[in-house]
Amino acid sequence: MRKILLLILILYFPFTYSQTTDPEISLSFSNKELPDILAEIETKTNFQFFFEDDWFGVAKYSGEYSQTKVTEVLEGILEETNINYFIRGNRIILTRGSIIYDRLPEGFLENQEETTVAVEETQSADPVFYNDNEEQTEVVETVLIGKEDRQSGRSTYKLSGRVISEKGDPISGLNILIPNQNKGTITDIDGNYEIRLPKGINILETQALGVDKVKKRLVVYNDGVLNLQLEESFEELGEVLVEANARDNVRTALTGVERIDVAQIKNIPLVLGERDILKVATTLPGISTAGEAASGYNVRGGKTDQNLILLDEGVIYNPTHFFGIFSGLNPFTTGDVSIYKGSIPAEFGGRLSSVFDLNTKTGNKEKFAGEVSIGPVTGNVSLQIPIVEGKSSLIVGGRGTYSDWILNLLEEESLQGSQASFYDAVAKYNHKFDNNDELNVSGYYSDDVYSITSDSLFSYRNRMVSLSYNKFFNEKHKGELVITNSNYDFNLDYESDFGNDFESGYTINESEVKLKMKYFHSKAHTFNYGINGKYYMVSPGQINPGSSESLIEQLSIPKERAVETAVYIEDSFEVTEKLLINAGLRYSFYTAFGPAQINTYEEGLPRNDNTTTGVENYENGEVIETYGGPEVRVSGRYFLTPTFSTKLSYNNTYQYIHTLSNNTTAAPTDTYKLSDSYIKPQRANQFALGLFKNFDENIYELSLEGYYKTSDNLLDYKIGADLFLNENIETEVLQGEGEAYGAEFLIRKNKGRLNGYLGYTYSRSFIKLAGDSQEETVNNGEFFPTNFDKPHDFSAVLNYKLTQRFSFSANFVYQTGRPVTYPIGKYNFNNSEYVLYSDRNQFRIPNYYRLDLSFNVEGNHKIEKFAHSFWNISVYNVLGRNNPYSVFFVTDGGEVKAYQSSIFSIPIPTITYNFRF
Amino acid sequence: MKLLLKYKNTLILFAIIATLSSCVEEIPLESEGFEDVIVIEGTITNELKQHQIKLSQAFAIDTAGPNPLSGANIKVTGNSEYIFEETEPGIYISRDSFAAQTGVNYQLNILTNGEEYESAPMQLPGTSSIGELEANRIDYRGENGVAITLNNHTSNGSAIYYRYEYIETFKFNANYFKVNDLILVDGEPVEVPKQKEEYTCYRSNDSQEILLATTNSLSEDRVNDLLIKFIPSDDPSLSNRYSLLVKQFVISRDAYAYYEILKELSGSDNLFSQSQPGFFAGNISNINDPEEKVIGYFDISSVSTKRTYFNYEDFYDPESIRPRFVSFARCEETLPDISTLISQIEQNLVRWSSTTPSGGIQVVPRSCVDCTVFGTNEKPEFWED
Repeated sequence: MRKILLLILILYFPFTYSQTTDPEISLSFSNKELPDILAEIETKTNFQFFFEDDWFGVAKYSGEYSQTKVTEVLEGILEETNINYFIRGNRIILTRGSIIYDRLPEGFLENQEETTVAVEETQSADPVFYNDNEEQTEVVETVLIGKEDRQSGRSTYKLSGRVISEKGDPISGLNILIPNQNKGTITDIDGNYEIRLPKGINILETQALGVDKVKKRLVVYNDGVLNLQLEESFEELGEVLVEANARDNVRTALTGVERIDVAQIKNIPLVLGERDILKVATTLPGISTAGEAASGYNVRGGKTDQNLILLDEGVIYNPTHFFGIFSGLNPFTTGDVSIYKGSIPAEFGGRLSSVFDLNTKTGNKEKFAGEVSIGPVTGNVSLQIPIVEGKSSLIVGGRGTYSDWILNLLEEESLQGSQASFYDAVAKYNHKFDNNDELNVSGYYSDDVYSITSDSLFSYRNRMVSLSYNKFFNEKHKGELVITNSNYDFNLDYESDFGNDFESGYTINESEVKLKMKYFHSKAHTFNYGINGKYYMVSPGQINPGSSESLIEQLSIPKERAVETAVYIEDSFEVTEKLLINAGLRYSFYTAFGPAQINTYEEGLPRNDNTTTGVENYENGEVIETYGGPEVRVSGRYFLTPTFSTKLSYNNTYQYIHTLSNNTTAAPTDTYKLSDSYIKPQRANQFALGLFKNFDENIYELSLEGYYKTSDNLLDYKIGADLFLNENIETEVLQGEGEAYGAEFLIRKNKGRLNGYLGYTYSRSFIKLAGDSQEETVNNGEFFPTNFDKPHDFSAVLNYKLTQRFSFSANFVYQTGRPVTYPIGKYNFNNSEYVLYSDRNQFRIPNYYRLDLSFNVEGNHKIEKFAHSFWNISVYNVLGRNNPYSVFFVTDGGEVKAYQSSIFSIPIPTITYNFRF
Repeated sequence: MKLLLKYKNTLILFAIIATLSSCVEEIPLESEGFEDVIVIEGTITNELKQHQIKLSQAFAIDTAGPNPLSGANIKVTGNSEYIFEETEPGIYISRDSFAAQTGVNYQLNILTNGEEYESAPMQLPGTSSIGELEANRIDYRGENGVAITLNNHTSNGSAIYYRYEYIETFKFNANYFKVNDLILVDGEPVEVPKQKEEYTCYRSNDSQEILLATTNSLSEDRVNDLLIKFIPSDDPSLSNRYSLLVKQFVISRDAYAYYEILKELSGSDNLFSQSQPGFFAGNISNINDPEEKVIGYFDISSVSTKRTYFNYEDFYDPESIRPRFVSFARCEETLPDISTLISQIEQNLVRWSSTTPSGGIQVVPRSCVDCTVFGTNEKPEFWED
């Protein structure tokens, strides 16, 4: 056994140098490295320094001392380092981190030669003694953290740092594990991490897919910084991993959380070669869409308006392009995505079903970097630009279609005058003032324009700006102030040969201020608390004549205004090592205020034009209606074994904003309506229970979750409701109860040649619309399946690496067909046949299945190459399955005809090329 | 107010997708259970006439209709009671002529199979007359043709909602004018001079679509350039002289809403987002069982009609080849052997075309010569040349 006594333990200095004199010197230096400065001191005194050059790095110092004691000079120049010093005679011994102690712990030096010279005894906290006598089977670098401070009585210290790749990109979602302490953390989106470690020796390991595993031995003396630069391993190729942090599966208290590491989705074959974060999300259990061209996502049986989609804290109202075929979020600038479909942390509110929390990457602060992607539908460029080296950076991303161009090449007559194009742009500026203060400013804009018939033009836009200021007050307390503004608007313009041209539009705008605080009370308690306030302003619709000949009358539906505020507090309470409870309470409060004119209706009768009794006027700022209530967010985790946990959660949520849509699937023309005196806020309760197990050192992850959800005041509509430009929406809406339940099973394999995941969900979603009259009742007032009720949903995403550069990926989806309303008969009316509809959603379109394949080629990894390239050759819907999107019935030429439409009915091959530099 | 556009042509789609893959295909109708539902059609107008109420029943989706409902007792009460009598199965005509009066509540009452149905009381809305019908040759959604548009001026400010029906009548010619006919005399084909008019015919079609207009969202109460009918240039109805009779109904707001929903749910709509279909009630219900589904609307409306004519030469070069029901390519002369000819004459499949110098009889398909295949050779009473 090799035994090394690393530290020669002598005596600590400031209190202790004794016999030696401390001469005064005058010294002046600028931009010099430490060894040079020390050499200068040596020439001016008869001291001699003992140290190793490589301790100091390349940091340069400047200073001026006049008739100053050598010890003061040393303290000055060594203050920023982790170097301690000790003076013995005319020798000054520099040590890294260690304070030189006068005494060893009992038994420490048994069987070892004692070389200690005790000089003076001091009282201090338990010193760190580092006995490197373990048998070494691997070479582990030892890193000293912090300078030992004898005054400190603390038992744990903060280790923080940033992890970047060799290219300088932050590595987020990296597991930082301290196996000896059974502790761990993950790096955030910017690659930063922070963990509290006990004094002394700790082994640190990093784990993540796509990056090399690193193991370091830390000797912790004090708070310190450990920045790591990890090499991206070749494993990166072909990992289709969606979740970066394996241990979260079993460790956190939250149920129903999905994380998507956006960098890893590039191999997943997608339609028309567009990398699409939200489409990848739908391969996970519990998240689905009504169909390939349906805008919006249904999470655990919830409606599409029940998802809070946040990009850098700002709400994106319509994150899709072209009817939902593409998502509007840039995959090259988005760093990570967390989707909360079960437990929703108390800081979020305002939507019933889920929170999609997307964060833009922080730009590289060291060097310029970029990425370009060229696909058949869009081109995409993202750039990372350092502004002030090491302090601030900008990331910008832009994407646009060339479809208009392709459209113009086609000589198809029916497409004359049609157009379709979209683009989106995102930018984020990050400025780090110091370790405690950080500013982020983000902006997002998307724009879609299309016309399907030559006389109409439809366009919509999202705009979002957010500003966040992060501050560490002290090591226990940090806060973030966020200000956001989001805007969504669409225009529908009509221009024909027959006059009455018009331009119409809709706008919703919201501004929000959030204060989010985090308080690390103790090992057992971490508190999150905060307050937020949101101001909504909706212009529900206006229409203007499109030309001077048009007789269309200018009309503007009065604006709606409301304020939604909330306070919350949440405690993450580690009751025992096994039991973790996350208990949160949010209180939200909503006020709709004037000016407004609101119709009143006869009591007890269905609201329609015939039951109007009058109009109530509300002054500017006058309160029309208030709603509010407590929202409980509780979840708990209990470790059955260290890799097997069970979780339980209960949530209730309020939602004060509703989409108006009389379509079976969501569309960009759906408008948002604020709760008012007639339309009550939607409410939901969700119970979830889950079992989580990791196998083989987190290579396999298994989860099984069940949920039961009830909701109230879900908005639905009378058949044929006119919702746009309607001043009395309350006459067209119904509110009903919802019920949803399901079981979600997911198994992932996180490593190896073959990796990926399989998910299966059994879920049901029902709604009940039982009004007082026939027109307010659907299906006799009984529960019936919602438009997106798809009981069986199976997804597999698999990747197989052939070599380090070549891989295959496959994506398979099977879903029960969605319910549609099918006619029960025909009748003759007005010289034509029409179909008779009865109960809603009693029939299903055929089941959906699809297989996509892709072949990925990674450019070679030669460092001197300017750009790193990546080819993706994919075929969407390889089986050519004609999956029906909808079934509909048309009276054409007096006869009823049934049609089935599908969006992608044949295999679609695409090639995309991507390179980054 | 319905402003959201209806994307009529479902095949037009996002270009790339359209060309690559998207598809809309017709599928067979399958019966998914059936409910017996009564269908009531009745509009009483301000015309003095015997009004008509139609009763029928819904039928299974995979069967053919109509399914008239006979044996009902129908009356409309207004100033007095008007009794309706069944003249054909499901068609009930008022015994007396009457015209709807303003300010009177009219109510429909039907007794059938022991059930009693009653409409809401309805009143005659305002009146309005059709100002002008105009025909113009235009390009409409990528197609060239003749559009007939309507303008009106409201004489009474309470007319806001309109429904239109039309009857188109057109004069047309067969592809060829032939002077002789072939008949069989003792089993032998014999050439005789043409016995009836087969070259010039007339045909009428009733409108089948739901045509609605409202001036609710307009600054003036007038219907402006409403497209009633668009006829593509290759349609044979344009080939000679065309006439359109437009009937304008001023209807109630609720009737307008009813027809609009019917139209929306039966249209092809937007491919990507389909309107939620379902049952929607009109203004008639079973008085003993208000939950029973009843289809139809009983409306009182004021009527105005107008007819317009135009000729082929008004919009097209008279020398150009006019559109026909049968393409000329399918009208080639043949020289059948005698037995084939005899059977063709027996089955009325061919017409005489020419006789060869050697006496051979050349024929063309009947539809190339006989216009009564597509219409009638009787000139309608109203027709003005």
